[in-house]
Amino acid sequence: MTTRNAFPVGLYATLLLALCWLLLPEVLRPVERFLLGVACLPQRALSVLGGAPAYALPREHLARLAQLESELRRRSTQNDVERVRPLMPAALEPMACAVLTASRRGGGGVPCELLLDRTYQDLAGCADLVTCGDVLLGFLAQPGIGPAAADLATDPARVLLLNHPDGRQVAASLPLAAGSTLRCVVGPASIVDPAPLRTTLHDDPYRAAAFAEGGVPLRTLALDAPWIGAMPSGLLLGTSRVWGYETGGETLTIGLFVELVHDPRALPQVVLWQSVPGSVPTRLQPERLPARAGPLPDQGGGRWLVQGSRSLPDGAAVVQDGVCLGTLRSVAFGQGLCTPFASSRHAWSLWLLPDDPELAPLGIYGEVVYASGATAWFRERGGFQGGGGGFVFTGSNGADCPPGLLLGRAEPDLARKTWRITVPALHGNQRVEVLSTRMSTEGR
Amino acid sequence: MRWLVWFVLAPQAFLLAGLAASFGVPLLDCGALVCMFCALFADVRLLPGLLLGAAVGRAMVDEASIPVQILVIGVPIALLLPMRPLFDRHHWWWQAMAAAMCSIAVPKLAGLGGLWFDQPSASAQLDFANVLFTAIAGPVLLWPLRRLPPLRALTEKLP
Repeated sequence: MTTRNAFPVGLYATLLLALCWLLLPEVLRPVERFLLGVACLPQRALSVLGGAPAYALPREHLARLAQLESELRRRSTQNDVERVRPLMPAALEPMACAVLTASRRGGGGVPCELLLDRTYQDLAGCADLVTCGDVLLGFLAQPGIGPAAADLATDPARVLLLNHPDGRQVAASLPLAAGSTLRCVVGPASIVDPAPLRTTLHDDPYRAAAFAEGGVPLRTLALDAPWIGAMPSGLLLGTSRVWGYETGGETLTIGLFVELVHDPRALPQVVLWQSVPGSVPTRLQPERLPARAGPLPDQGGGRWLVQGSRSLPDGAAVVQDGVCLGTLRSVAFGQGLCTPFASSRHAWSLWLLPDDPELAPLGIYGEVVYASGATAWFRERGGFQGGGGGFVFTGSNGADCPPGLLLGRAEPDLARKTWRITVPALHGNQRVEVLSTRMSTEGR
Repeated sequence: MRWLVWFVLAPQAFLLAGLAASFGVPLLDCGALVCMFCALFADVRLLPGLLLGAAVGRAMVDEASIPVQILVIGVPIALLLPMRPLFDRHHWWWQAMAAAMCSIAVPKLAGLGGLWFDQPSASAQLDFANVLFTAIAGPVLLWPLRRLPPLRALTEKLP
């Protein structure tokens, strides 16, 4: 064997091409879609042998599903609104908005922008405050200005979280041990900082430098100057995190940071405050494309070849009677490859509705670490929160996979510190729907 | 013609292995089998086409995209290929060793690919039962396959 054969240029060129492909995926995405589309055609022909499509849920269960969805909305809204209502001006009315995506890395390396399921136009009568419970999350962007310069009034509204580099800074107060308070300004930290927010301009720098306690809540401070922007007092911003060096048993503080209460990726819903009483909100809903799913015998927990009447969107949810089966990778010829929730290993934002009616719905973010058949073990990023079992719905997983689609039943697995999520086990061809971003409206 | 047959059959082989696994047969790692064929027997000038066909097949049964699959399958080939003259590739023992190495390397690289390129997949899980089965069944399966189209036309012709 010659040296040339042992080190073939063609092989190395292919590996180099693969790296370039990964750097510029959009350029070669049509090639990938075509290759996979062609490879799926024999399976498409074979799927005819699988018989007529079936439904996932018996009809009597649909009423139960509708009840669960209604309960999720009711309890979420109650939890997100009631705690903050006494802090907000009486003239403002709450409006719950679903979060479609959390994107762009901001302070602390966590996402700093949220995309909502309402357009700027529909939120024109709202104050710019965005809350969740008694927590101030950020501010509504204005189309055509700053980070939303490219947005139109008809685009989904964007929320700039407090850790956004171009976000507003807010005045805050921090309770100290002696009963006094330390006042400061809270703004975004940098991406490499240990927490998303950082305090500056302390009213007493000496006491700020001596402060060494973590986990202390910081709340907004109302200012008398209205030109700065009306800010209610008492909204929670986060908890303190002191960053510094240990020197002889004491901490030499070099930064007083603020940890967020909610991971932005785990937020399925936020609350905006409208000043127009009685206004009926408009909710943007993806279109539902009818499709047919046939099982693909993969080497894991089963995948689906989805066939639609036209091109299917990447990342879309595949839904059957309100139950989300998984997300789709679009390939050519109106086909898509659906990876079920249990077989997927990418990160998911979930929304847990606990069985205990006293508990508020919980947003969790993480990934499936192990699956056996239709049961998946889901590990939360940032630590296992625990709690009781309940039904689990999709959270903010993209415009084509909106919050509130039922995934299955979750039980805490305390030994593994994960959630054990059981999803419906399906066999044979299925009649499904694929959600598409071509927006339609409801509630007008 | 050989390429047409390869691009038609290679992706379906990955699905066939999954189908066999659903009937209780231990899972054969087709990615490792392709690695072994390319590293030991394939005509080196044809490796890019062989790799692309196998990557398309693996992308059908795995969450990661085609370029990640090219790296997952191509890197073990690039590492094993220079060793081709060092041992007797027709010896069953060496073939089993190569199959075992590939069936360990492929999931490990899938895991690394998922981490680096944010495309995690379930195939990154290493199962030693599958490694053992691939090490035993790989050479046995490859012996007739090398004598049938399309692999017969893609095998290195010795002078």
